[in-house]
Amino acid sequence: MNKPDARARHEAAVARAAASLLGDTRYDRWRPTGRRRLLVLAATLSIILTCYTAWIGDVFMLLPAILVSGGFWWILRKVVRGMADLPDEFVDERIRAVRNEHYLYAYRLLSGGACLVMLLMFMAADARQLAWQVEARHLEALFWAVLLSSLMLPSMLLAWSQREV
Amino acid sequence: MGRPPKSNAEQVHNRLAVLRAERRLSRQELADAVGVHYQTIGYLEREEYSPTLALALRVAAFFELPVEAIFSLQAFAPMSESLYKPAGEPR
Repeated sequence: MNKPDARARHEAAVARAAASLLGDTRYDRWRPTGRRRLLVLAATLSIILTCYTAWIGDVFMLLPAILVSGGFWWILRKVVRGMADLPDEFVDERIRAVRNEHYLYAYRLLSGGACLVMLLMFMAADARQLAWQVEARHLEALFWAVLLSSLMLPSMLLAWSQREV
Repeated sequence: MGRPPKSNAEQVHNRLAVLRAERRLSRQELADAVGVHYQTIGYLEREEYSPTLALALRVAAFFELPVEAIFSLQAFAPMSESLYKPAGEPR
């Protein structure tokens, strides 16, 4: 009998992981709406903290802040059962529809927010009265803001808005 | 002419909760049978989600009923009303 090839093994492993994530009850204590919303607020604060430490150029605080944000990304992903990340073939039609809707909101928020922040930075850099210059640390803060938001926003929106996860 | 507001979107009513109770099925059992997550059955029963035609047909096939007996664009009359109407009145 032939051994299943690497692709089939990979697909079987993803299917097992997806089934386990969708049926996971270990994080049920974080699934009531109030607690989910609390998590979303805490995750937002962690993103702001990470950006702030990058903005002020505090390299010693930046790594712990990134780790805290990473922790919130991980727990949010578990709380919404990976709805934001699982491949289409492992989720049902309702979850796909909900996910598509929330990805659209996340895209609009992220692109709008990023454009607004960049516009403000350009305007501040251009204003003679402010005498402010864009430095590497400012761009680093922007980078972390965009990276963390793009990773976490879909799960955050799902956690915030869904009646039941 | 603008697009209609979301609240006016056509809602699909169903008798899933009654049928599931009648067959003594859990949400998980029905979900496994029709290939969806168990929460999707809850969303369907509360009529917070309208199924695709494919899912409606799978549900109908599972209950061995015509699809229009389970899903409708008009709200179903309560079961008590259908069963206990005085004789002579249309059910």
